[in-house]
Amino acid sequence: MKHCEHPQVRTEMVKKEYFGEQFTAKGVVCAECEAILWDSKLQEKFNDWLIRLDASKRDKFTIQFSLTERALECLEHLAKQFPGVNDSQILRALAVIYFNKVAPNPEFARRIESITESDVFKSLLTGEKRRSKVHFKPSALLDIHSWAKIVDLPPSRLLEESILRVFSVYIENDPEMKEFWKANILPDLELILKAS
Amino acid sequence: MASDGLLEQLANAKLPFVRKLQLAALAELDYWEDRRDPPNLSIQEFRSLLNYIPAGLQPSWRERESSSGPHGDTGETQVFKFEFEVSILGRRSRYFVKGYFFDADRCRGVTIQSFRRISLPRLRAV
Repeated sequence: MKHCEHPQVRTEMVKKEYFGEQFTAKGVVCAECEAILWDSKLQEKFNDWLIRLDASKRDKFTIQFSLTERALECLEHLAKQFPGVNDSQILRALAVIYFNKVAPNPEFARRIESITESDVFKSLLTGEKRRSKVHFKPSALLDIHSWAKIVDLPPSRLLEESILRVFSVYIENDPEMKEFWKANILPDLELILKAS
Repeated sequence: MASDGLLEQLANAKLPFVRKLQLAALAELDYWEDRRDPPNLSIQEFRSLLNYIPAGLQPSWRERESSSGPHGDTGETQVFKFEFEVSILGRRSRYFVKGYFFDADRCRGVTIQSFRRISLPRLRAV
């Protein structure tokens, strides 16, 4: 496939769909391949649009997903360590840590993936599931949708899979995993939740 | 506008390529978002995957053909090209990146001309 160098451009109204809503703004478009130039000006217009959308249609920024009773017990146990912090904040923080700290590090990622073979992880998959609804700020939701596209999963399933992996590390009795939790996940979780 | 500290880091000639790319994208990013169907990779996906590029990766370089875009005239004359693989949640996929830093005399950002997935996520073989 020939990669366009975008030799000629024009200004036109660009439209993109996010969360079932249409974002429109004037932008620069390649006359050959129709790629949109996403620069700081367009980013600013997009940020303003997101703020207005979040204020008017909060449900657009809510993800509904299911966790087993066992997973919800983990969440409850973890939440006790952070008084005043709600479930959404913890779940969001865990997803952020997984995708920004764990997954980019090949060694961390290998260790976390190995836990999916464990009884601990499997125990989090079995049993009755309960629905959870979590609201995210626009930037966090964009991140999640972006990750969902990258791994080709619906956002709800993406959240479940990443969170269950981190929960498994949290409840695993293996001393190495406990050390991994203390050294690599807990400090970031504390930092994120203090700031949220 | 990028902070002085960030620009100072970008001015370091010894900065490894991937670190330079990450910092430049943080400073100022111009991103050509492909509308062709498929693949259609967004600026969000690019930002999400920046930290996944192996730290020691070295791109190939060639002369830039186009001078369009807000930094087309002031950007470096060479474009970089590379591929990298990502493994997340046990799913592996491969990406292609092409772009150039700007400005040529003092780096303060990067233009990404292409960012495509060249293989779909697949589960790792066990």
